[in-house]
Amino acid sequence: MNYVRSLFLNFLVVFFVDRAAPGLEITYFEQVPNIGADILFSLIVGFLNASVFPFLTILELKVSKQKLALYTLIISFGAFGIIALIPFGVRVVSFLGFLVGGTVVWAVAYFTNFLEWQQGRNS
Amino acid sequence: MRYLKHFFVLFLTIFFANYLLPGVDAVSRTKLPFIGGDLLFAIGLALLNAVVYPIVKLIEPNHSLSRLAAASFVLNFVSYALVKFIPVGIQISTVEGYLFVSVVVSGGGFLTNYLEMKQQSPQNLDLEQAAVPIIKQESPNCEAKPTQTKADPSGCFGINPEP
Repeated sequence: MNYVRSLFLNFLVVFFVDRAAPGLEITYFEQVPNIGADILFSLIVGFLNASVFPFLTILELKVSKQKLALYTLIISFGAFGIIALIPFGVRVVSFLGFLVGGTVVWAVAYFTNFLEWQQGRNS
Repeated sequence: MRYLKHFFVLFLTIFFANYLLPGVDAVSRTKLPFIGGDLLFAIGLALLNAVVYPIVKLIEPNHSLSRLAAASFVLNFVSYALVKFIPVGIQISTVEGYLFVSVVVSGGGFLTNYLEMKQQSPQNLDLEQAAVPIIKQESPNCEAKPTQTKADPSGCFGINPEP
């Protein structure tokens, strides 16, 4: 249940950032104007970010704040770095888009993974 | 902290629903630093949805799940009905869109309020399970001294077992 909540939140944050952050452009489908191509990008980045803590647990690695922060940072900024080079439904058109998008997504991803870790320790 | 988390999830859900569902259009779109009506509407409705549980609890301390669900549904259906008349950056073009978005946002609002309720008072959700230990505590000797059965009840009927 925690994982589903985390996935949902990470997905929504990427979706929100794609729409609202400056320096990011979305490609829209002609047939369905409401749905942008950013949905797939949001799903992939949301899934990757939500999976950091579960993967560390499955691999039986020691979880720490630094590790969570580092892995979520790599995924978040890496994803926005990739779409700056290869447009994937969303396109980074300025450095501000990369910076704002990466930072917001990273902050929420770290927060959700940290909460999941804390809940796992308490239970 | 928990309230903030629920507010944040609700805000994102409303924003998502306004952009994605058919029959609903965000006419004043946010692109920071410009803050559009869609963002303000999502923040306002998320704030209202996040205070549903505290208000229901305040009005009626022995609240039920159905009361919580009804409050969430009424709030969102009324809010989206008002959007039709007051321009706030969101435009509803079809009845299906109105129903879709109201149901989705109500569902999200109810779920977050339900989680809040569950975390604050888990005993309210399972009264029967909560009542069993109380009954056991009230009569601790009921199992310690079980009723003794008669080994040979034939004497009751005037039958002498010994010849």
